[in-house]
Amino acid sequence: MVTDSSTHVVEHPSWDGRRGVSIEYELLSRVDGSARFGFDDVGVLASVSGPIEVRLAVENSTKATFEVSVRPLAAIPGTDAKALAATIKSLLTPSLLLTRYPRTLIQLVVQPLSPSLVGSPKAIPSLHPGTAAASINASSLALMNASVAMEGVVCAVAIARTSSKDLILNPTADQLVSSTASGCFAFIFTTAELSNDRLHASEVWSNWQSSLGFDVAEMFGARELAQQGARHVWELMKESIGSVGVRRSDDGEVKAESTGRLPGDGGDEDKMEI
Amino acid sequence: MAATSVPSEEIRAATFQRLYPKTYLERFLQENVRPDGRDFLEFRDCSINVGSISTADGSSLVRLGDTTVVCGVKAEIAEPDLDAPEDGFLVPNLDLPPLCSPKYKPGPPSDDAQVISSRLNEALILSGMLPTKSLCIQPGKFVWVLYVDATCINYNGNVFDATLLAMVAALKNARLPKAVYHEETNHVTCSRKLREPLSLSGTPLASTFGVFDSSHLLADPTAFEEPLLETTVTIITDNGGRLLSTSQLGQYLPPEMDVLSECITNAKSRTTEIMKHILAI
Repeated sequence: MVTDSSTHVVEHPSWDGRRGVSIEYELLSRVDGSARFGFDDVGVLASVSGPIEVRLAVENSTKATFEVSVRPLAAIPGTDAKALAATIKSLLTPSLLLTRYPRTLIQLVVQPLSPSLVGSPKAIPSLHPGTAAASINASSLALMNASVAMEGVVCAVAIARTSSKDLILNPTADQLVSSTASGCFAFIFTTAELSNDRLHASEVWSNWQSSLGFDVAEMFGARELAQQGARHVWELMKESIGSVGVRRSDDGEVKAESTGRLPGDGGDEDKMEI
Repeated sequence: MAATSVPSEEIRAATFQRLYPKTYLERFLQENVRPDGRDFLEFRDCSINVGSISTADGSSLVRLGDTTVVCGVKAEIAEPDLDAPEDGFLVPNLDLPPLCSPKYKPGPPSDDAQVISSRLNEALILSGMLPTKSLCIQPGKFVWVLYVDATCINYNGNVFDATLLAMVAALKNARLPKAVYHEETNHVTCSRKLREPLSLSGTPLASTFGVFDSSHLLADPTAFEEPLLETTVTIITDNGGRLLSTSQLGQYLPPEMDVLSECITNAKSRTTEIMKHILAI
């Protein structure tokens, strides 16, 4: 078991050349799985513990109880953190095979690592789409890192519409403040047929808002763009999994090292501890 | 036969509903009707009553079917934030007491109440209904703080729609005392007699739908239907018929089921109906 943080950082220039994605597996030693996901300046750390013992009040005899908590960077969690946690729980639950772990708890803790849009009275912190998208991606990675049985992987991206009616993927904080509409879209990626590797995407969360109003066609356009973006995120995630446990020595040489626990794409139940 | 009375039809149906809620709902949907007799895309009748709480600066009582929400607006004067010296505060909050439903226990606000309060705040900010700059009395020194407190007194599902409607109605009904800033004494005095309405622009309206079993789209779910719907869609429109926000959350649906378009059409037609009543407040 690796005791210190062995990280593999995946840096990719974004598909539109402006924003990069970074994925790190923190390998926190006290939880079953952890991961950090970043869209340039917005980073989120997620950790998963489970299946672990569940308190009687929330125990379910047929499936695991899935609890999500979001801890903001500053101050105690308020109602917006609760709202984001409830959203994440609703959109991740369809992807988890909770019936595999009855009478247990799977606990996900999400920690944004960058402050949300503060100082602007019109800021809606919980719905900062970039943080929401990064939180969802980090959660998916952490769940995979913890080898929780999953039906598919949920990937999310944020989209904003500029004043010139362009749609941009993964907007920066400044771009968001000056945007006229924004939203976050999350898709679950499953391999529909096991024989060929065809990837199938369905949306689990789509959210689009504008204080100036918008038309349906624009929202569908944003969703299309988001699906492509989410697919790209999925590919980056898949690439990152293969390199967990690879340690770079001081002179930059790559040494493979067994971590004793490999994350799977779900379904690794023989390596599961209950 | 033992001396026990045969349970009536009603009791048998109620027992079945308790033991097999999903099958119970399926049986109704197969007959193209919902347990309360509504069509799939039919919203419950709603009634709005304003001004009933005399101690509040504005109040409303909204009934969406059986779901009843009381909302009151109270104003206070406070110092503004240092980085936003001309902005007042709008603090919406929803309380879900044990009075309204057996699923809420006494104690700190439940998760449901917190999540809905947060979403209501987002909806009000998004609609720009009450720009916080309009609550300024003296920049940097005194601003209004409006507490918009809603309490659900009967819970039969879709409390988000009902509460947003109640808050909008209460804000429209609100009359704040005229506040005058006196520079010499650095004081604000409020008129006892002169009351003026808030400067509101844009009134949001929420319409919530749910999808059952990846096959049926139901509008305005009741408390019985809510836990059985795996996907929820909420559309927020404003009085100009514009779309402010669409949100679809939950279990993924088959691609041929694009519920968003249907929900949006339905929400827009409902907006024209309801807005007539809100604007009359």
